[in-house]
Amino acid sequence: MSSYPVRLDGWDVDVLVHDHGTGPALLLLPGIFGVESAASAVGALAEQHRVVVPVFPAFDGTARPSWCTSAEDLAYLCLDLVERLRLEEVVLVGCSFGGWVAAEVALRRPGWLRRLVLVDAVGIRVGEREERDVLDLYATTWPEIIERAFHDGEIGQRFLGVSGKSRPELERIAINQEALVHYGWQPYLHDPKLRRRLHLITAPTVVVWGAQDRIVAPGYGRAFADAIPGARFVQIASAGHLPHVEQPAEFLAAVGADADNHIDTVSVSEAS
Amino acid sequence: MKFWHQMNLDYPHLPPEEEWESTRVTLPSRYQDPEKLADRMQVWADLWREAERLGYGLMFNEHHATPIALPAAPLLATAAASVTSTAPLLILGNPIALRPDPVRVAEEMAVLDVLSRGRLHCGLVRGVPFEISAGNASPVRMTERFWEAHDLIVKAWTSLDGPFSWTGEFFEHRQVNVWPRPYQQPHPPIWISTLSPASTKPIADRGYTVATVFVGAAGAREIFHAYRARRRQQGLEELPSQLAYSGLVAVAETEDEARRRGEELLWFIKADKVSAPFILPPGYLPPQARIEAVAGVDTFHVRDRALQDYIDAGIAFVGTPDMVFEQIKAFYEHVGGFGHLMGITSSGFAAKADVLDSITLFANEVMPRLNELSDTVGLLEIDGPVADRARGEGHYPVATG
Repeated sequence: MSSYPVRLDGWDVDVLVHDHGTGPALLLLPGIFGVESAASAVGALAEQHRVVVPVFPAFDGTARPSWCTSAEDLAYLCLDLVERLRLEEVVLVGCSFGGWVAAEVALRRPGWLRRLVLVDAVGIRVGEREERDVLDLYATTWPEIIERAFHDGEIGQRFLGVSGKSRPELERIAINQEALVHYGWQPYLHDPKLRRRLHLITAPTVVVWGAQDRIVAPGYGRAFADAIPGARFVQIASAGHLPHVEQPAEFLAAVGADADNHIDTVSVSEAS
Repeated sequence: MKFWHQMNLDYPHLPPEEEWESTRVTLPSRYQDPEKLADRMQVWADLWREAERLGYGLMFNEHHATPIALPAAPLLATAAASVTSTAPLLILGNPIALRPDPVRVAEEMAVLDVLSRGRLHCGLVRGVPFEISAGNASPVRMTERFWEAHDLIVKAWTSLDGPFSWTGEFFEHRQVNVWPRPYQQPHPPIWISTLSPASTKPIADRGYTVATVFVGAAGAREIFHAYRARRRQQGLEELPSQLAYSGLVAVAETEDEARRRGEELLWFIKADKVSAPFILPPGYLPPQARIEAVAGVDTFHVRDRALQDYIDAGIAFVGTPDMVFEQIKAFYEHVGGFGHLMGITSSGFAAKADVLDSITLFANEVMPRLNELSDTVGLLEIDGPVADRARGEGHYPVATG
């Protein structure tokens, strides 16, 4: 793995990029818990891909220009970054909050986009006005967030629990909690207009969801898939908000690690 | 020295706290009886009149989604304005980092200033962490939002020649033209509260009154020192009226009775049971200051403290008139002097007669001596922060006997 800063035109700070493996390009956009939450998926993906992971500004303590405040800003960051790195035929995988950014990228129909994979993504509005689509992370204790994010509580504790964590690790959690506020406070983790724009997405799309996700429930994922022309909805059993962490094999299959495999042939428990 | 009468305008008739999670953000309002609160408001109005008669200004604050203190301080101050005629009115303050529309704040304050014929002192505050969810305002970049809102409000008050246009980072308003203009020209005195010495600089540069609440003698000393050092560095005048402190005040003829009243004053602190997610939301303080919150360590300790702890720290002034004078005198000398004392004299189940007795004793027997002290001594030279004193917890020489 290499990590390096990229200075994009019009930016006055560097964007940190982690670059893993070789092969066809895969751009992985991390979610509400930051880059670390995508880490366990990266190794396996990097066996067959060059996996590029941008650190969204403010996450992991990176610099954020004051104007960079929305998922749309991050989408343009990604569009710029792919041009700069000269990536082609890119598989775009967005997890959770990164799924929102990925959808914003895809509806702008960049020529380099080969396939879109949304994993327990936020970003759209589905429910009635008094329904919460996404758990209010700012009214929920950290232990309860972890509990609701994972099907297997032990994995959740190991991954994001606070016991046994060093001070720098706890600080990283605090930093990433704050980073998300810049992008997701209001409207809360969505753009009210995104859903009606999703029909513009032309890339082949699969929407992957942990069946036990209690941050944002599978019904929301189904609505996401319904709004994207031709998108498939794949539910992964025994997984919560981070199916790539809890069920890596099923996740890889859903992503279609082998580019020649059609999504229909993957062995996952598919929702009806 | 100016003295401000502050009642904690709360609603204490709650079921046992085991029955609910949090006094902040989530406590159901069905627990509140409208008739009982209306009765309390009548008592408050009576005490506003008495406090005016005794020479106090009236101070108002607000909190939201909680029985710990009512919202809408401008409405309560307006009510007070209409039952009094001379008392200065201090709102401390308007939580402008939580408000979507600063122009509305400028309008409300201007109306109150005119209604009261220029009695308004306008406080601007950031708001405590528990207000974030209740106010639905983002906890990041609050300081920047605060100062942009401040700039817009002051410009709105002082622009007398028709509309101006405002396109800031946080607020946009194409035709700002506030009617009425304030009664006081160019605008009412501005107060800004802070809990940290580092944030006094922009307050000092503008000569606004810096107000600090419950930080104790050690904390107030640091904050006042930072403010005055900045004034001095800029070649600007240092005045007692630029420095304000808020604490608890309970006075009685006997020490035992004063302590009983002091214990009653602690209701709004002791009852303030706050759910973990609301204690310190992400962004309110730097991540390094939130590590304990992430780790699930309860950082909200104020409920655990005893009355004597508050007295020792210079947060509460409790006793006979002589004792209270000595306590405040020691505090005054420790912090280098100040010009405004805001005393919280009522909370929870405190009886009206006790509050009236306490504020009367203070007005008759403590105020004159404090005025003499401040007139004689003025501001004292003090050194910088005392390194070994944690903010709000430092001990300083207090005459308690």
